[in-house]
Amino acid sequence: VTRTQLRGFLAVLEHGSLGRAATALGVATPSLAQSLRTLEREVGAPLVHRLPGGTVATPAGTAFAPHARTVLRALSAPPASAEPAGVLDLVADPVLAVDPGGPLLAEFRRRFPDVRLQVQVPEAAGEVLEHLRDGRAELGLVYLPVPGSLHRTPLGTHDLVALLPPESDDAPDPVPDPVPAAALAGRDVVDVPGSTWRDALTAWAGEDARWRTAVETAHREAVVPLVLAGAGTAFVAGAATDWAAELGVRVRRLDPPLRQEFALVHRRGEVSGAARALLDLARRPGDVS
Amino acid sequence: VSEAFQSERDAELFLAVVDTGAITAAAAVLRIAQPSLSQAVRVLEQRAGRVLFERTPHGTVPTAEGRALEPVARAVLARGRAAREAVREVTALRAGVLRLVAHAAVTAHPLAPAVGEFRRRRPAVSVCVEDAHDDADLVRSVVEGRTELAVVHLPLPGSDGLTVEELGVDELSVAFPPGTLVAPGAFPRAGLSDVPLVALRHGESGRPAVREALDGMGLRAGVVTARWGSVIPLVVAGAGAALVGPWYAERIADLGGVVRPLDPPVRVPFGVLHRREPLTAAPAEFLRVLRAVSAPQRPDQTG
Repeated sequence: VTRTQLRGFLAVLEHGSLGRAATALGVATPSLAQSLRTLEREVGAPLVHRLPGGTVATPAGTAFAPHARTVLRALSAPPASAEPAGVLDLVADPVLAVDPGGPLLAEFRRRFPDVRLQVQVPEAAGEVLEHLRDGRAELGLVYLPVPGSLHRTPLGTHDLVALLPPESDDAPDPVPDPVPAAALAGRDVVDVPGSTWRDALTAWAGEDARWRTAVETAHREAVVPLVLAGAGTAFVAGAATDWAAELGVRVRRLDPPLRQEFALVHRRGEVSGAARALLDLARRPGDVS
Repeated sequence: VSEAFQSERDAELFLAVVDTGAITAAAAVLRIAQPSLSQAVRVLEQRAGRVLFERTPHGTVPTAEGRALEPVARAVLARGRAAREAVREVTALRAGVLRLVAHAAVTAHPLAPAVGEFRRRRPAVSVCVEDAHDDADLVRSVVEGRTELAVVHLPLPGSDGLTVEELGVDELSVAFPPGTLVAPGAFPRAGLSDVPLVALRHGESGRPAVREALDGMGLRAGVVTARWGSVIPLVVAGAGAALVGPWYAERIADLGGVVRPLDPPVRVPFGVLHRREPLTAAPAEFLRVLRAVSAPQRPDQTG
C-alpha cells in the first residue's frame, strides 16, 4: 500500500466521485481509478461503490478509512530519536479552541517549530468526536464526558456564566451574583446552536427559567456584541467571560455553578511523538495559563 | 522531516536489510534481485536526505539515522496490518453494519425471520432497516448507494436497470373483525366492493399487483392509516376489514378475526432488488438467508 493510493482513496471518499477527486489531486481520472483498483486488490475487498451519480464507501471502505489515515500518518512519522516533527491533527471544541487552545497551541508552536499543527474547529459539538473516530484528527480538545473508547488527559474546568446587557444594573430589579435560574426567568436569550453546553444548561435551568431564544446565531463571535447591543442574555465559558467584562457586559456566575471539565483526548493506542509532546506540555501546571 | 517511506513496501525493504544485516540476505528474504534492493535502499537514503546504512566488510548495518527510522518502519507495517485486518473483519462478517431498505408490508415476513436468522449466524454484524417514504424513495436508496439490497413486493415501478429476484408469492386474504358473519370458504372477490376496508395511505406495497387484480371494483376505504403496524389493531377493534398477507392473516385470526381466502386468489410476489454489481459480504449473506427463509413459501415447492 502506497501513500498515493491512500491519498487517492481518501480523496474519493471526501469528494464522492472519481472525477472530482482526480481534479482535487491534480491527477488524471483513469490513473486514480487504476490506483484505487490496485489498493482494493491489495486489501482484498472493494472499497467504494461506483454509481452513476458518484461513489459511496462500501462497508469495507468505511472500516478502512480511519486506518488509511493512520497508515498515512505512520508513513510521515519523524525518526524516533529526533525532536517531535511531522503533522499533528487536532480537533477542538469552538470554545476550547480559544481558551485554553489559544495560549496552549501558541506555546506548542514556539517549542516545536518542526511540527505542522493542523487545527480543525467544527461548528457542532458532535462533529468533534466524529473527527476523532474516523481518524481525521489524532487529538481532540473537548469537554467531558466522552465515550470510553477515548483516552482522556484532563486539563481543567470551565464555569458557564451569564452575560447580561450593560443597562441591567440600572434596572429596578438588579440581577444578583451569583444568579439562580429563577432570576433569569422570562429573559430573551442569545443562543448558539450545537453548543456543548446546551444540555447541561437546559438541565440547570430546569422548570424555573422559561426563557425565550430571541436570537440564534451560528457565529460565536457575535454573541458578546449581541449582548452589548441589548439583544438578550447569553451564556458563555472560558476567555469570552473576561473580554465581555472588559467591554462592559455584566457578568453573573450561576447559582448553583455549572461546571464542565475539559481534556485532551485520543483514540486508545499509541500516539505520535508530536501528540505526546502536546499532551506533556498541556499537563505541565503553571506553564500555560 | 523524514519522508523516506512512500509505501509499506519501502518499510519492508528497509527492515529486511536491518534484520538480516546484509543486502544479499535481505534480497533473498524478499525474493528480489540484489541490485534492485541496493537501488531501492539508495532511493530511501535520497528521500531521507541521510545515510541510513553503513556498508562494512561484515555486512550492511544501520547508522544512527537508520536506527532512528526503525520504529517508524515497524509502525508503518503494524498499522498496515491493522488496516487490512479491519477490512477482513468486515468481509468475514465479524464486524460492520448491514443496511437494508424494505417495504413495510414485508417487514413481518419474510424480513423479520431473515434478520433473526442472520443475527444468529453473524452476531457481530448489526442490522439497520431503512424505511422508504414511497416506491421512488426506495429505488433511490439502492441506486444512490445508501443501501445495497431492498426487500420488496413486486413488481416495483422504476426498478429498470436494477437486478430483481423473486423469492416467493404472498397470497392475500381478507381479514374481518371478530364476530363478522361471513360464509365459510373463499370470499368472492366481487364481494369486496361492499366491504369497508382499512387501507394504507400510500397503498405502497404490492400496489400494482393488487390494483391489477382488483381493478375497477370500486373498493371503499373506511379507514386510512399510514402504518402497517396499526392494521391489526384496527381490524381487531372492528374499524374495517383488510387485505393482508399470510403473516398478518394468521395474527388477526389468532386475535379472533375472521379470515377468508379470496376467490379467485390475489397473489403478490415478493423478492429483492439490488444494483447489478456484485453484493458485498453482508448483503450477500443476508440474501442467502432470505432465500432460505422464503423457500417454503414458494408455490412450486409447497406443491
